[in-house]
Amino acid sequence: MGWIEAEEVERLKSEIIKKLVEILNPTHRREKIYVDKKCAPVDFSVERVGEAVDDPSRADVILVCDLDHFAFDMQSLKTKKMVIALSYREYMRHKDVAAGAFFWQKGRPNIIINARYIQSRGIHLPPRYSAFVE
Amino acid sequence: MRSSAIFITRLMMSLLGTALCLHASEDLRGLLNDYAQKADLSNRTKQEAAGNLIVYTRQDLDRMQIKQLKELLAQLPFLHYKEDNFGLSNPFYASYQPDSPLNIRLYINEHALEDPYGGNALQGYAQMDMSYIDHVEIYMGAPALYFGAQQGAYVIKLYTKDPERENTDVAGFYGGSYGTGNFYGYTARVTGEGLKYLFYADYMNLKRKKISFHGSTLGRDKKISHFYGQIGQGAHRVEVEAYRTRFDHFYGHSFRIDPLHGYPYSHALSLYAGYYYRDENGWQGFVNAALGRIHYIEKSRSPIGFIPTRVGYIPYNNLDEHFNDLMIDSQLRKRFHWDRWDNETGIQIRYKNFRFSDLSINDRAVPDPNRKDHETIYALFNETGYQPDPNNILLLSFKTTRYQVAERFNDRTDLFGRFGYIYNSENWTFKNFIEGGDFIPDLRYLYANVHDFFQTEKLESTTAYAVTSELIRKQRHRKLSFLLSASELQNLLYFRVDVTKAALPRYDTFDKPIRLYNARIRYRDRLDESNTLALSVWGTHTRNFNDDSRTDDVGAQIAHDLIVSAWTLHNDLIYHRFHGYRATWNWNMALTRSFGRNLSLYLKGENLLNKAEENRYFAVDPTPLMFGRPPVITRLDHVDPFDRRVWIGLEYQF
Repeated sequence: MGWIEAEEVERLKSEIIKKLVEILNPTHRREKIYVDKKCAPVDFSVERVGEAVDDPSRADVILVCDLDHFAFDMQSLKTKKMVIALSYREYMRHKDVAAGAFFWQKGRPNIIINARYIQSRGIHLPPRYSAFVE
Repeated sequence: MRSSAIFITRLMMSLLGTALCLHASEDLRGLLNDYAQKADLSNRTKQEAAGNLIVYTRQDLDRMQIKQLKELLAQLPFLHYKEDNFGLSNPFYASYQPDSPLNIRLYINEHALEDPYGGNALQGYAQMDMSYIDHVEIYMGAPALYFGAQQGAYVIKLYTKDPERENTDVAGFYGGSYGTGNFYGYTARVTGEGLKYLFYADYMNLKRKKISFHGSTLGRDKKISHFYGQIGQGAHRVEVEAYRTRFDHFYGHSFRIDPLHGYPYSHALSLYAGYYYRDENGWQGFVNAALGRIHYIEKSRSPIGFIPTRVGYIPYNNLDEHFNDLMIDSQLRKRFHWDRWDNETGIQIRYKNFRFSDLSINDRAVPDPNRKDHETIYALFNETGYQPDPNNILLLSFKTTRYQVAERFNDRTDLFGRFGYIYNSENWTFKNFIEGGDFIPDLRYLYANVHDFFQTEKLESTTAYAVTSELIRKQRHRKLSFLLSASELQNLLYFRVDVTKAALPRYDTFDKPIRLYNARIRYRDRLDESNTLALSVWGTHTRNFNDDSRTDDVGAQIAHDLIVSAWTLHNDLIYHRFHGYRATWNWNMALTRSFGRNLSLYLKGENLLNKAEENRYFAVDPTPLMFGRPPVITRLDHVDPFDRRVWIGLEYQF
């Protein structure tokens, strides 16, 4: 892939994750983002999404590929962090914790917004996002 | 017919206008669609420096609901899709004439699909199910040599679905006209340990329109059971494939196109396994083997061939024989990068053999003569690229190929070379190539000249030279390209019959060249998140110095995609006018409805106007010559290689 196209792909992925974060957190403040080390190599710009942090305990949003290796209390994750899974498998394994997911499946990029998450936080989404809610 | 075309065009434009009014701004959906297009796997696999390229991305194939490769062949510029006298796909078919050595080369990933005898792998694959294919790249005009030991005028690369992008288990069914049905399923995932796998299975019962002719019913039905598997981890990948087929073979060898009912047909079994390696240090290699066995049976009212006896040539009407073939292929290549230089060097060794066996003629077993042949190909290739700055690339490549066949006088060493200059910036691409080289005739023609026509002279390779230039203007959602090319073919292969001499016919090469001049304009515009429009116009002028003829072919295509909520509507209309044929119109439509992420239903129509390509055939019965009478020529015209067909399908993801 040419370098111009690779940059554009990185930008689009960053914008999608940023959009998902904004949808799940209507306060629209700039979030602190932690990316799970298991997701390496990171093929998007964390700075486009929010403020990158190295310590998950300081993050507002955690992007995960493997939640099991996190030394976090699940209840604490559920109430204090926005967890976005970057694989469908990880989302299905931790649906009670994850706010949403962004992953490839059947050759297409997919977004899931967790219905329980938005209900529990009283988030009301515009109708155009209803297709992503599961 | 013209009024039908005008009606269709107006209908498509009104749909477009309606969509422009209806669509809402779906920012996240728009971002996802953009991302899907830009991150398409074809952007990783396509090799822009390899030649002039047409890509069908995963999204394209899904929107168009492409089920068979022949549907894409119908869309290619400069190509007249045909099926041969066996009902098999062969765009270069002409009755009794050999396939051009500048054939279409077909790959699935790095696996070259070659028929050791016939060369043209499209015959087997073009009508098979494509549900395990992710995207398709088509390279035109004698593309880069590193695609394989034997280059062709077109290289079609099919890439299988990527487990990292699938992560799913899928089952699907589609069926429709003439009682066609197809069941398929696949599973593709990446495990926690990084093991990737794809397993696919398919059963197709492809029913086609029967042709009634001279009291015979000519069939082209196909039944195919197909399995493909792939496992990989890190730099290693293993592929296996098996398929079993039962094909009806149209009219086969029948001298008067009058096969008996239910004939000819074949049963075939094909097995393949391959190991592939690609690492981060520029090393790539593979070794694979493919084994095939065909049982072919033919019965006809008129003769289908002659068998030599001590008293002369005796015609026969029944044939029952087995055909076995084997191909072993291996390649090793290394990419080097130093400063502004990029170099790729490789070697390839390919071994092919075939053998006819268990022959019965007119229900009598015939002692097995030495009806076999083999070919070993050794190729050495190198491509060097120099990039003085990010926008300019110079390319120089060569390949030398040594062919050794059973009849050693047909051995040869062929050469191929190419020089290219590419300018590439954010908004412009300018590709230019000059290339030339030799193309050896397929093994079956070398074999036939020796064993059927008793020739002892070497059959020359075809030499081709070409100059191509393509200018592409790119904007964020638009692409416009202009392509011009000129090529000359020398020593083109043909089937020679000297009616004035008492001599056997044979394959020979033309004394004088044939020149082709091509031009094409393509435009693609993503009007908004819901609408994409594509237009294409092309023309070819051919000058044949052997008979001093000049011919012109033209074609055009308009395609539109509309996405509204969970609905996707694709339409394409293809116009062709090939020299000597009526103008043709091929309208295809696909309407897909998604129900969440798990289920999709679709309705697809092919050749809805029933005016797509026309094929013509003729057969010659020379047996009257034995009695001093002229041969009988039988013509069969107006055969549609594309049935007018409607499919309904569903696909479910578990």
